[in-house]
Amino acid sequence: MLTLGIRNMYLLLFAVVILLSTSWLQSDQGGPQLDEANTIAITKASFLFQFARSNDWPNDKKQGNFRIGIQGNTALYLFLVEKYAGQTIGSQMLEVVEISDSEQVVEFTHVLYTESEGEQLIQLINQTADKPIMVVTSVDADTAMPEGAVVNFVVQTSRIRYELDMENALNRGLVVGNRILSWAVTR
Amino acid sequence: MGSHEMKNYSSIILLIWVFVLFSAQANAQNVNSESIVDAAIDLAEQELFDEALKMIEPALLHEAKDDARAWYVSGYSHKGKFKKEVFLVSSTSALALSERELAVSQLIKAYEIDAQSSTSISELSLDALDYLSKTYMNDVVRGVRGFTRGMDDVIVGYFNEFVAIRSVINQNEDWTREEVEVEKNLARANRLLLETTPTDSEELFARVVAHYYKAIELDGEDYTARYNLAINLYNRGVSRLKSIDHTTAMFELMETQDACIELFDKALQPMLAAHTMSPNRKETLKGLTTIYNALSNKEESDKYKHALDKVLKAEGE
Repeated sequence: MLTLGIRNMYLLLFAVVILLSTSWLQSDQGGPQLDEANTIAITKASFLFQFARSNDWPNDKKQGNFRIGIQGNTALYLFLVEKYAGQTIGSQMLEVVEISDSEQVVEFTHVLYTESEGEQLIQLINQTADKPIMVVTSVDADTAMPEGAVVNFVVQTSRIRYELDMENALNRGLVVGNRILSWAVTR
Repeated sequence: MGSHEMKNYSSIILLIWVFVLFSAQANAQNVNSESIVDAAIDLAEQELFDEALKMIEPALLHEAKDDARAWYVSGYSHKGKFKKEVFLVSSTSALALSERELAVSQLIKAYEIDAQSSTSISELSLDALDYLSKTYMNDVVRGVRGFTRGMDDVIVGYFNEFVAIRSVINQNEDWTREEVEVEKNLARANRLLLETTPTDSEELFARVVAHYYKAIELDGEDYTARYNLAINLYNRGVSRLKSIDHTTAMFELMETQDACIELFDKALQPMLAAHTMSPNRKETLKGLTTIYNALSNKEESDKYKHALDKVLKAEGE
């Protein structure tokens, strides 16, 4: 009869194998790591680049580098540099600058993103008033769009959207591009 | 004696004759079947499996169809052929797979026929099935380790075979825990493949998610499956956001953002469930802080950040 002595050896060997197999399966090695990239900064950076590219800039702003200034958000600044530095807006080389002192703002900025609030924001807006600078703000959902700003980021159903003040844009001599206009939201 | 009685006697004699004839035939068949089985066993013991099978398999269709020994020797021979093939080629070659499948079905048959009488055939069949079940589990592990795209169903198939055989050996064994681990490992294997694939693959990502959902469905208490599912969904959203560049049009940016928010939303539920299971785990608190932040929900994000700081502080003390 096939009593076959080998079976005992196999039984022992495979008891060990199955134990190793199941324990290997149960060892949760190499689990996924949380991507800690700043998603808000990425989204805002993408919008700022769109604003730069889709707007119809006055002729006197079409010389030299195209400058996006960032005030109060280093993550956004770093992401813009990482992703878009070296790109061109029309024939202008894109330059991203981090602005810590509002004195730097005045002449050479095309798009100015600021997270300033209160007096500091008023001062900044006054300083850039009547200049073809697209001032972009980002205020809480329950706060009205700051006076003098051209664009303001708002959160709508968890999404970052933007509202537009056309009057301020015109006062600054900016002709807002159709693509920017068509995606703007109202509150 | 009337002609009627004569007729009855003739019928009885005829019946007896038919019975004797059939009994003799059956007996001859039994003797024949026994000798075939014995001869096949001799061949199998000499590892002449093909010859053994040539002899025994035709008999399984007729005279030996209810003979546990015959089914066992046939199953044993297929198992022998399987082992040879494994040694020479691999356990997953077409021949090995078909030999193993035949071995399993024939050994189960041998066990089922013999189960009532409980001779050594039952025990030997179970031993052989035990061996074969483990080869299936080995193939599961090997499949996960050397995972290639689209192997999911094959690996799950091996595992299902393993469980099916184990249920014959012992109906009380519960392999749910291992099934959960197989699903989680397949999710991980697909993710690693996705991370190293140069072009994006929605199909691979769908498989990652499907395997984690299956693991959760199997085990309502599995923390890791929930946490990993949440991370995969969230990371997928981040990865899509990162894919936005200077070539992206405004409408694409809007669409991408919508898709990302949907993924972040989907990530929230399993992360919250993982948090409920283990409220003081740092990675979950960090995950919730991050997901809520991505959903622009500062209040909730701050709440979990505060909880995380508290845990970290307690650990530091």
